[in-house]
Order: sequence, then C-alpha cells, then structure tokens
Amino acid sequence: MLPYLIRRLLWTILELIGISIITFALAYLVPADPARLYAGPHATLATIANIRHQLGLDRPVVVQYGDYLWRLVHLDLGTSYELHIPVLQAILNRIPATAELAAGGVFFELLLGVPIGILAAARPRGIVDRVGSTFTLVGLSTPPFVLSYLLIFVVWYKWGLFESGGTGSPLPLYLFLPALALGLSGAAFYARLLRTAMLDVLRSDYIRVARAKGVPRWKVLIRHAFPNCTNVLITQLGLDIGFFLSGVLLIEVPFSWPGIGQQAWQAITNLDVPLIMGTVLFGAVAILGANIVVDVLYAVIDPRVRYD
Amino acid sequence: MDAPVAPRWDREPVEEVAVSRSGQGYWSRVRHRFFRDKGAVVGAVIVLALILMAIFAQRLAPYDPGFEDPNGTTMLGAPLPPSPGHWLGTDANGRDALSRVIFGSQVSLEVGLIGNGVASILGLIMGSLAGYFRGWVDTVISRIIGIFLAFPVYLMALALVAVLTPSITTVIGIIIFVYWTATARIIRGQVFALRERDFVEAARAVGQSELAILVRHIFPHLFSTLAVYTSLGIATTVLFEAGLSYLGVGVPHGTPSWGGMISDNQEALTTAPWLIFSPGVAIMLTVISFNLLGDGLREALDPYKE
Repeated sequence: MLPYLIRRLLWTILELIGISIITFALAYLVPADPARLYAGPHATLATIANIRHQLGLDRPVVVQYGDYLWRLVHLDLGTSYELHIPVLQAILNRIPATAELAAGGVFFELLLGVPIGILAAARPRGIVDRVGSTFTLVGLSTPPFVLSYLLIFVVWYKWGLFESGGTGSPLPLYLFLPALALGLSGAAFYARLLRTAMLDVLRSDYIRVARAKGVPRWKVLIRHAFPNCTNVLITQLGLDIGFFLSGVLLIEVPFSWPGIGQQAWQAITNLDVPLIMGTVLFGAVAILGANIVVDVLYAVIDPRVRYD
Repeated sequence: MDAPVAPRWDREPVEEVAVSRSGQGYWSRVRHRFFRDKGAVVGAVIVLALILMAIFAQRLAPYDPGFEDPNGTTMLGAPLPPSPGHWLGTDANGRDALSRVIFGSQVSLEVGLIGNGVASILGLIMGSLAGYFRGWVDTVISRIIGIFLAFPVYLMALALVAVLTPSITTVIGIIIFVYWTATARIIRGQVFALRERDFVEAARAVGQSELAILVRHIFPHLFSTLAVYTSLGIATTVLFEAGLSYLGVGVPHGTPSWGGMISDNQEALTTAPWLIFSPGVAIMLTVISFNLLGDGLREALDPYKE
C-alpha cells in the first residue's frame, strides 16, 4: 500500500507541474501584453510599466516560469486587484459556501440515484427501469442552469417554498433548491452507473446461492448485491466532490450562491486574471486530491483491492 | 462447456430475433437493428430536422433575429407573451423569440459539429499512438490526458476567455482543449486490444510498416466507436456551449445562441418565463436526440449483438 501511495503522490506532483505549465502559459505567454492584463482595465501607462518590471516580463521564459513555480510552492497565488486581498484568501473565503453546496448536491444524488438504480436493476425493462431510464436521459440532457430556473420558477415563485437566491439563515431554506438542482443532474448519472454495476453483480454465483437457499429477494438486492457495487459509487463520488469543490458555476450563478465558481465568474467582468487563474489551479488541486482519496478508500473498503 | 445460464429472475429478456439472417452482410444487419430501435430513429429524425433548421434558418424564421420590432413590447416596455404574431413571444427589446431560437441552432450545431469533429480526430490520433506504441509514448500521452482531466472545465473556459478574445473560434478552441481527452482514452483502450489480434500479426508478417498497419488495418475497426462517441460527444458539446454562452463567455454578445438568450432574459423569469424555457427546451431536445442517436448507433454497430 505504502509504495503504491508514494508512487501515486510522485505522479500527482508531476501532474501538478504540468498543470502549472499550462496555467503559466495561459497567464503569461498567450496574452499579447500580460502586464496590461494584470494591471487591470483602468491602469495608467506608468502602472503597466511598473507591473511589467515587477512581473519580470523582460527575463527569459524559463526564469519567469521558475519564479512562478517558486511562488506557487509558497502558496502565493498573487493578489486579486479587484478585491485587494491575496487570491488564496479570496478562495478560502468562499470555500464554506461551495462545500455546503457540494455536500447538499451529493446528498440528493445518492438519495435519488441509489434507489432508482437498485430498483431498475431488480427488474430490468420493468416499469421502474423504463421510468428510470427516461429520467436518466432527461436528467443528463438538461443544462443545470435551465433546471435551476425551472426549480426557481415552480417551487419558489409558484409554490412559494424555500429561498432562491444567495445564502442566509436558516441554511437549509437557502441550500435546498441549489442542492436539489445539483443533485438531480448527478442522480441520473448515478442511477445509470449503479444499474449497470448491479446487473453485473446479480449474475455472480454467490447471488445464485443466496437465492437458492431462500434469501428474500429484497435482501439479496440490499444485503448481498449492493455492497459489492459501492466501489463504483465511491469512484463517482470522489470525482464529483473534486469537481463540486472546484466550483459549480452553472448552479452557483443562477442561484447567486456565493461559492468559488461564482467569484471566478464575477472576476471575468473586471478581467481579474490572478483570481481566475488561482481558482483554476485550486480546482485542479481539489480534483487531483479527491482522486487520491478515492484510490485509498478503495483499498480500505473493498478487501479484494490490493495495491502492490 | 456452455456458459451457465443465469436464473430467470435476473436475466434480461432476450429480444426475439425473427429469423436467422445468415447470408446478410454486417451493414444490412446494422441497418435492421438501427431502424428497429424507436429511440434511435426518433433521435436521428430530430437531429436531421435540427440540421435542416440551422441551414434554412433564414427562410424559416419569421423575423430577422436582431430586428427590434417597435410594436414588440407592451406600452411599459415589457416582453409580449406568445401570440399568433410572435409564436414564442418577444423579449424586452421587441425581438421575436422564435426567430432567435431558430437562429440559435446555427451556433449550437456549428460549435458542436466542428469542435467535436476536431476533438475526435485529435483524440483518435493521440489515443491510437498511445495504444499502439505503448511504452514511453503511452506514458507521456496518458499523463498529458491525466493533466487535462484534472482541469475544472468551466473554470478553464473562464481562464481561456479572460486571456483571449471571445469569438466562435475561441469557443471551438475551448471545446477541443477540453474534450479531446475523452475520445483519446476510449480509442487508446480499443487499440490496446486490437494490436494483439491475429490480423495485425499477419500484416506485420507480410512486411507492412507500423504506420500502414495503424492506418489501414486498425483505423477501420475504430469507425463504430468513433461514430458512437462523436454523436454522444456532440450532445455534451451542445450542453457545454450553452453553458458557456449562459455564463457570457461563449459566442460574442449579439449572436443569437440558446445559452445567451437565457442569460439575457434571466431577470424576466417570473414575468416572461417563455424567454427562458423555450431556448431551454431547444437545448434539451437537441441533447436528448444526439444522445438517443449515439445510444442507437452503439447498439446497432455492435457486431456481437445477435
């Protein structure tokens, strides 16, 4: 396990370096004049010249990149010139809201996706399966922001339930609709994933043995088949949590949810490049981190998994 | 020995195959399977209709999408609800919503087809190189794919738009940047298996070059995979483009696009919901039909289906 973990971490560091090369290229090589970009739209010529000197843009590219990497290692993502605070601080300020939304989204994904997936696999081509697969198709084909507006329009505006913008107290009142919107899109995916995994497991010998010795049908499904499908769920959960923590723009924006995605989106208006690039990097780290956690959880939860 | 038969209760019912169709070619069986699949046919018909709608938008749309009808709003400047004159109503500028939805299909399909087409070709090249040559080529390409997969896609698009000028080309570039990895991973896996097959061995034995084996003998086997994943990929791309345009980082402002319409009219959600939900339905319909088409192709092209 340990050698595997070390190898895995080394690869991750390599990937992080790759990511930093891409963000560096985007921030410093792609724009015609990075200094102007970093100085902000209202900067004077003197400020731009000053920033060009500060950024050391007159030095060789390799030196510039080394410098960039050095600052990253020290968790220096630059300063947001919109908010006048360090980028890392700006991101950390928004993390609680993003984490709440992520937790709520995962809750609804599992609440809706798991039962539908299990019931669909219990009777393939039965009524639940057919309704479930329609739900899956529609769920996967609906843009999250359209779903958000649909929920706001029907649940909040027509029925007068819950809140539809921003966050506040009590939290569940504000969190319910954005979390439901996030969870509904994911639930469709979970249902499909779990159905396939369950159908696979239900073909195994030990299931037939359980059936033969007279275990009730529901118990075969819940007690014998489902636990062996959890690794599929965990993989997807890990990926989702990584992506959710990197900011769910298409839910955060329609609901004005103050997460890191919405902050990065607002930064576009003022071309706050350090803040946007910082959020991209942060998101990539969240995703890579979640992947490692998932791989370790595999081995912890499923005794069949061994890393050598 | 035959494979053990699964107990009745967990076995998927086997579709009745009318007669043994030995003597029929692969393609005629594919056609037969495809046209028997109602979902696939419905998907294909809607996709065809959408493409025709985009091509003939100029003739189909009752108004110019940018035309601001002076009588297109109420006295107070509010959008008009759906009426015989404006089937889907108007927006706050007096523009005809139906015309904008019809013209919006152009952007969605253009971006979906071109972006996904290029991404698929790039994925095909990278994936087959990695799968065929293995070794360090595979390691390098797989790691690059790993890096790209770690980027949060919408944030990445924000970053790209922040440093580039927004245009349809930029959007297509973002799509290629984000989606080539999906095809590459699938193709890599396929080529990995294909290169072990006897016909590859035979081609090598008669002295064919590696490149010729890859292009002439392996690529044809990838056709069905590519067709399926391109169709499913277009569905994803249309969703993605709508999301970008909704966020205001997609096609330039003024070009009619479904995501842009929703973004423009979000304030009118409670007073003029048709302005949000008609482009919303257009997006869903497009994505659903490309998904149905892709799923249908997958079932029909699978040579082991019968």
